[in-house]
Amino acid sequence: MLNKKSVREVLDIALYAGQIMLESGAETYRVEETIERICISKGLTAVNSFTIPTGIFLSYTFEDQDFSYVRRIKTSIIDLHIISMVNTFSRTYVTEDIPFEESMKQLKSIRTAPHFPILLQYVSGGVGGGFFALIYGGSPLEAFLAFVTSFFVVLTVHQIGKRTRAFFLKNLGAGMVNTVLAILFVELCNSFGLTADINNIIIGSVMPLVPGVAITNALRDSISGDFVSGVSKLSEAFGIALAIALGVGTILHMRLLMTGGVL
Amino acid sequence: MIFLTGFYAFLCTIGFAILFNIPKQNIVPSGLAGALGWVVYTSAQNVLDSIVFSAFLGAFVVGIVGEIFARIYKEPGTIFVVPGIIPLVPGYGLYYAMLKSVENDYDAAIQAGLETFLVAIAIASAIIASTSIGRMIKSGLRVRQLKKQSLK
Repeated sequence: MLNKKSVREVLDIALYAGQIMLESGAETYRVEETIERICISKGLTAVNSFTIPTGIFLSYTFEDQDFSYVRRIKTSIIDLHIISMVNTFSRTYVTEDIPFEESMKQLKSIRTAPHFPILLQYVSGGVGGGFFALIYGGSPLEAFLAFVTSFFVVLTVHQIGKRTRAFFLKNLGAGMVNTVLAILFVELCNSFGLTADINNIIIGSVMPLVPGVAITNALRDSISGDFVSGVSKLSEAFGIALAIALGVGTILHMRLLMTGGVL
Repeated sequence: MIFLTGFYAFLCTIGFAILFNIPKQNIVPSGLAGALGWVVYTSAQNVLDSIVFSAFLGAFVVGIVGEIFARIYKEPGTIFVVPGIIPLVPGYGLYYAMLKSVENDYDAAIQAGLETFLVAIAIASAIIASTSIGRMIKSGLRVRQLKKQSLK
């Protein structure tokens, strides 16, 4: 039978699961659905959850008393493994009777689940950027240079991201690193008599940064009726794009001033 | 030629999938979704000469393939869709629009920006369309199963 303590426990689990999902870049509707599914499966009624990328709001009624929770969400990166694990967790949680401490332990271990080795992440960022340059019409040489540049772009994002949570700074820095390397490589190629188009290198290596997925997710939210999430994600995407453009643009301007050449 | 770029798109998708920390057993399927989407996108572009509509078709294929893999691997469809749309995503257009506005070339900026926006809408609505179809089929199957059980 439900009592005040067990209700509280169910909500703690639901909110924590929702928080982990949201921090890993899950869609708004998925977070809300997970929270509501967990609550309903344990017999709670009149549960309302309202989720936006920067917070979760949850309210419910129990024994004629109203309760509500607000949880502020800070970071937001895309982590598909965590989304998948919380999804599996919520499926088993709603069908089985897992005690509170055990569930909390499971969720905590999901949150700190290991990532791919850091070097592999850099390399795959490079692979992604390199082949992106290739499918958008770059030559094999440009693709290789884009590979090296993306490698360092992902490295920069990771290193700055470890020290600060400001997304603006890390995208600005990575945009600068990207352009400096691209210019160096192009000059190097020229001195060896090879031709490489700087734009193709920048296109590929800027891909790990650009918020293409973020902007698509934002529109997905808006089209499915989560307007506040949509607008909030859109402004995040806009901020990231601005930071990258500022980083790339500054370096290109400096090159222009120094060499007097054309862009 | 188109299969070669499809293979490139496969590797491109896998690179980003690992960056997004995808579960290990889903790396190759997500790459397949990305490659198929890209092949459809480029073929459609050759025939239709419309980037926006081609992006819609490509993303729709990614969404459908993602839904199928979601049933096979018992994972949410997002796991395959997020990396799968990477080759189609208008990241470059967005970057280009921003760069042009930094350079005070507002005409080019608005042109690129509008196209980016339309492509993003096309991809988003294609994903929603394919997900809804997946859900409809799923709930249809469930109703049929329940009917069978109740007849027994």
